[in-house]
Amino acid sequence: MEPYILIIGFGSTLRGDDAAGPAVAARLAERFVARSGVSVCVEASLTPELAALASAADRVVFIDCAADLAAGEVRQVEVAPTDDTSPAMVHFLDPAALMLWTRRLYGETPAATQFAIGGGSFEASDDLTPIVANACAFVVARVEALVDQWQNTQEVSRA
Amino acid sequence: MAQTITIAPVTRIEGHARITIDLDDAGQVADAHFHVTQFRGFEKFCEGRPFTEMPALTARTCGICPVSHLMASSKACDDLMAVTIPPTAVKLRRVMNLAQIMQSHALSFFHLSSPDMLLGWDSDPARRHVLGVAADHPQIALDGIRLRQIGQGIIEILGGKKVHPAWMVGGGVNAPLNSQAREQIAGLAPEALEIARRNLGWFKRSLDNYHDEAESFANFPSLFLGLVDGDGGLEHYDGQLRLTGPDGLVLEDGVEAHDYGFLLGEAVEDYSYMKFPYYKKRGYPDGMYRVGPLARLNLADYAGTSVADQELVAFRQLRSGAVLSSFHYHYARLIEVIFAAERIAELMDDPDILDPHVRAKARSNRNVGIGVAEAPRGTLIHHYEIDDDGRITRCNLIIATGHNNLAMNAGVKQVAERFVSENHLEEGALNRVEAVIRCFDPCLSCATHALGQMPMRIELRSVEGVVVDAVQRD
Repeated sequence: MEPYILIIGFGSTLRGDDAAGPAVAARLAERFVARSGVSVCVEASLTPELAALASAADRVVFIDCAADLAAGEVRQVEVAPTDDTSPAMVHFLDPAALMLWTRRLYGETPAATQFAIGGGSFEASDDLTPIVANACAFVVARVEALVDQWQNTQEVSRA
Repeated sequence: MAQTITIAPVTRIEGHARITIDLDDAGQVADAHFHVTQFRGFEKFCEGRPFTEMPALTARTCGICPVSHLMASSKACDDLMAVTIPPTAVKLRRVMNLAQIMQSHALSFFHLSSPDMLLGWDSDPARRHVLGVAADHPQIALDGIRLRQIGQGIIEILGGKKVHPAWMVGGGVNAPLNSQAREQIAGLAPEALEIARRNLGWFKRSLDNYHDEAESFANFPSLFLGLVDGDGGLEHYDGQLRLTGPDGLVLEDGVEAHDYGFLLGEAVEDYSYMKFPYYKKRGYPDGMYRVGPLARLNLADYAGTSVADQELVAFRQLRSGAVLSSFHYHYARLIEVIFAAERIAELMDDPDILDPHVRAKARSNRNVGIGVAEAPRGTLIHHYEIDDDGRITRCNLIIATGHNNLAMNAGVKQVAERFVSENHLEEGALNRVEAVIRCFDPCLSCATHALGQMPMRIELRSVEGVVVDAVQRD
């Protein structure tokens, strides 16, 4: 059976480069519109309800903007459920906290990958800076390639 | 010697609030103040904007209940345009508002408050959160997640987005419902009803366990304000304002949106940016009233759907006259979720719900527009004044948390009276102050339940500023 992959791009679409996650997700939604086994969500933030969707996935891909990276820099990391619940809030979660909710609520721990794209400007704007727009194109291509790889080889390695 | 207890911060995100409790010379609680120190400025920076932008602008007031602001704002714009919007647009707006009430009440009850009720107000904060509930009561935690998902899902089906949908506009809505979406929504409503009934069941069976909280959580006589429909039934979208007393008697009825100013005054205090609305005839602060689910169930003659009406009868057995304890906001929320699920199902069966005529178009035809609706937390009023070019010259927003401001202050005082004695803060004060605020579900409550831990410090201080007692949780 083909692995089911959930892609979540999140961030504010009104705060400049913070929209990198939603922008990448929107483009991936177009690319994968006819692909079975792939769902794409565009979210303002990660909320507990996404744990229900994540629990059904074999792999979750998070795409977000990061303030701790240089503008346009891309970081790809594997995400494990956090052990620390203290900073987690009800309204929004980080990927590790969402994976914790998924495990605790549904007993499922899908594999998870996070792409963080360094932002250059977070001022009120609905445009990405050029360097971040380029990085978004890179991440779109990278995720497409990974999805092909995961689905073709069934490499999802649930924890 | 007069002293002051300070609790700060009360919250972490919307936070910017603190509580002070003043003691008299005898060491007894003299007063309590709930300070909201955050300044938003929406009323001011909306000035000069075209009125057509107001729904989208004011929806940004909140990320939890943007739908409520969209609705009140769109109604105010309808008023400025002097249009009667198409009947199907009214029905669709109602569906989205009920879905908003469903998801917001689910957040308040399951995510924020059920950990206190199910794990204990004084249980370890490290596990007093919804994940702790998941460990001990997994079905309840899953129900909470699912119920909110259903509410948000219906909002997304209608508006294209779960948060800040731009679908509601002056004159109606910008897209009709299609048959596929109708089937989706119709399929979700029965599950929401089942979840709400199941959880109202355990809540009612547990009421004896919450006797102390029901007795002491903002349990006092007050007035209640909210909308009712033309027959006095439970109403969240339209209708007229009704004000009732603690004995359940109707004091004001049939007050149209445009006349809210005759009913309500707005006071300000130098210790808070949040306004203090009051009932004008009683004056300030005696004109304290409460809004929200508790108020709505107290003042409506009936709910109007079968299961909700049955539950309303049971709810009213709690007390002759109005139910006064703010603890029972929780009870009222569950009944309102039942109502929302039933009403959404009815509206999906409406023969006109797919009618493509969902928007009236016009330019501004009045210089004053007022929209009143019921948000999850209570009555929401948007009042705009525009110039002849349609630009906002004055904007007044009275939000639910503001209506409840006097009552929240009184509630904190009531809890403090129980947990402060002889210049000493008794065990449990922190948790109870949190919990009484949470009953009202102000936007602040979002942050006051950060997985069970609200950073809080209460200090007993002498008039010289010397700390004589303190408790703290980081």
